[in-house]
Amino acid sequence: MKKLALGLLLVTSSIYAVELGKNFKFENGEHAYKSVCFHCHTLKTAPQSIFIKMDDDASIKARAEGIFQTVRHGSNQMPAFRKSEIDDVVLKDLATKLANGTITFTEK
Amino acid sequence: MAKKLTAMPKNVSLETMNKAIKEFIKILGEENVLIGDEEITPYKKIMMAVPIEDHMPSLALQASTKEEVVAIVKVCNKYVIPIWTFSTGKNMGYGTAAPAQKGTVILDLHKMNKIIEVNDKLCYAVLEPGVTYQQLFDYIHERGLKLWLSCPAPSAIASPVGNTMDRGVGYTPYGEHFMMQCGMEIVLADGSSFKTGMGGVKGSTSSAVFKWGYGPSLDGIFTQSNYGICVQMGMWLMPEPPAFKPFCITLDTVEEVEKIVEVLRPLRIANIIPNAFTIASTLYEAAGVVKRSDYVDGNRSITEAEIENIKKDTGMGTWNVYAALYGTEEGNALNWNIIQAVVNANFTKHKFLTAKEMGNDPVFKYRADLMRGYMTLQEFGLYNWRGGGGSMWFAPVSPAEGKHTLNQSALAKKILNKYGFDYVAEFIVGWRDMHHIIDLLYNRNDLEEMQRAHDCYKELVLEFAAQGYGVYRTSSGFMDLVAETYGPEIRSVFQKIKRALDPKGILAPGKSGIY
Repeated sequence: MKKLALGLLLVTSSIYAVELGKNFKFENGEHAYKSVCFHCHTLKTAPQSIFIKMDDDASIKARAEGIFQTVRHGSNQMPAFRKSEIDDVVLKDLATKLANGTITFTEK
Repeated sequence: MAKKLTAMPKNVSLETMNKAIKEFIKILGEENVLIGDEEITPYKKIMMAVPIEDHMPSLALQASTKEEVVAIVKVCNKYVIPIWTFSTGKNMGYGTAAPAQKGTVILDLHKMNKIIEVNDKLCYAVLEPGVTYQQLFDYIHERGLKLWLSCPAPSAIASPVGNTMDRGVGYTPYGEHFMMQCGMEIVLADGSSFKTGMGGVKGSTSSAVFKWGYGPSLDGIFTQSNYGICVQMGMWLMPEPPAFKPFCITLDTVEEVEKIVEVLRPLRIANIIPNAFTIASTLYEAAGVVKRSDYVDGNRSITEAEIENIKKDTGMGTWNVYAALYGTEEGNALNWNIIQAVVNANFTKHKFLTAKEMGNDPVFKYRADLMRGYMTLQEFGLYNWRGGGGSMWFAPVSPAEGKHTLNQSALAKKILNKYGFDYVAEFIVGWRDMHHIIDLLYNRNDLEEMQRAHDCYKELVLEFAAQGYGVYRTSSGFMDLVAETYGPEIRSVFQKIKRALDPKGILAPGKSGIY
């Protein structure tokens, strides 16, 4: 019975992206996109060219690297995003999924 | 070969820095001690009109817990190394993450981001500094809690604690954020820590519900200051109202701004209008949705005729007044009748716009989202106006009286146009006060233009102060200048408190002109 209760608790707690009393980090590229990029890049506020999909592996890799660097450096009106808010692994995932078309434009 | 530091703090030898770095690594692990040009790159992106070289940090530390902050501060105290703290460092037009002094070590608290408590009965939250508005918003919405946030614009990536510590404001009835703060935990320069207000009582039941505690109230001295590091804060949240009615009143002529402040002020002070009402100029409204180059040829100030063309194409007013009603349908209807009657009695060519008329209009939706604490970064659109990512907020404060509108607008326009910039502004009537929010937008990629923006900002600060208007905040590049406008007497008191709490001056030297 105790095991079942613990199991239910774990299932219940995992439905939330944000937990009480725990340090927060983006789980993956989609999570970061929905929390941050989405706000500007689905409006006229920022270029929608981030959604351009590459076709082959080499182009995807090159474009993902470009996105990665832009996020870290910032660009004109776009702020720079630091490791403390998006770590290298999640940023690489985000950049790759934008470049290969996994993350696509959705209306805000 | 150790990575090269991007800058060195004043009066600290490399040998001392290296000793401190070894201890930082022991506390945080190598991955959280960021050294070298590549690692510091994201900390160098600023929008203020000063060279980043003058504000270059030496290194950045990423802390995740209060214990780590305490240990870091102790090391800084031991080696007398200056340290500049920020929560999420997204205060774009107010300096971003750049320290006031070159070589200062950055203490980045973004990873210290636990939501400690959200109480939906008493309507408050207790947060660590790295929590973002988006994170708190998601927490609340994932659970269907009936609580609203009050956010600055832009909000999603900013920190509620950081914004409150800098005495930022929002657009809901809880928009005076420091007024809605309740209880802090502070780490002092010697590494000791304490809780303000009721928090000192062992097992306190009331630290997030009663602000004052016993004895002197201290929370205020830690805002916009360098007396301690806030590692936890309580803040009150607004209960979701049963009905929400955002509205806009468009006014046709420049002169009408004076009258609208007089007409709406009594309604604001009496809380018939419960939130700060905003009076946005055409360009403030248009900058995010139209292209400057479609109307202005070249690198000069926009003319009145060109602004008229924008008005004609977009339907925007010369002034666009935004406010909202929060309550029951019946109560809102009653107050809506009062507002309409008062405005109709004083104006003839105005228009009332509500969700009914505006539908999904992006500008109206944006304003409505701001006034209900929804997440948006749309204000970044302003930064596209001139291109080149230069922005500095200039925000003088005055009484909420009409006579302080046209004279301020004229003075600001004169100075901005002298340097070739546009007047992109709004007035916000908080309660008895009125903030005149001006975004000095410039091309930061053009060094000559950056110098002009610097000189323009300086002249704005000095000329407005000469008329009795002080600014309530500024970026790390202009803190001494603004401190001077508030006079030597108060600055001397600030300095005495600093010496008492931080005798070695290690915490954020130069913050608000205090060393």
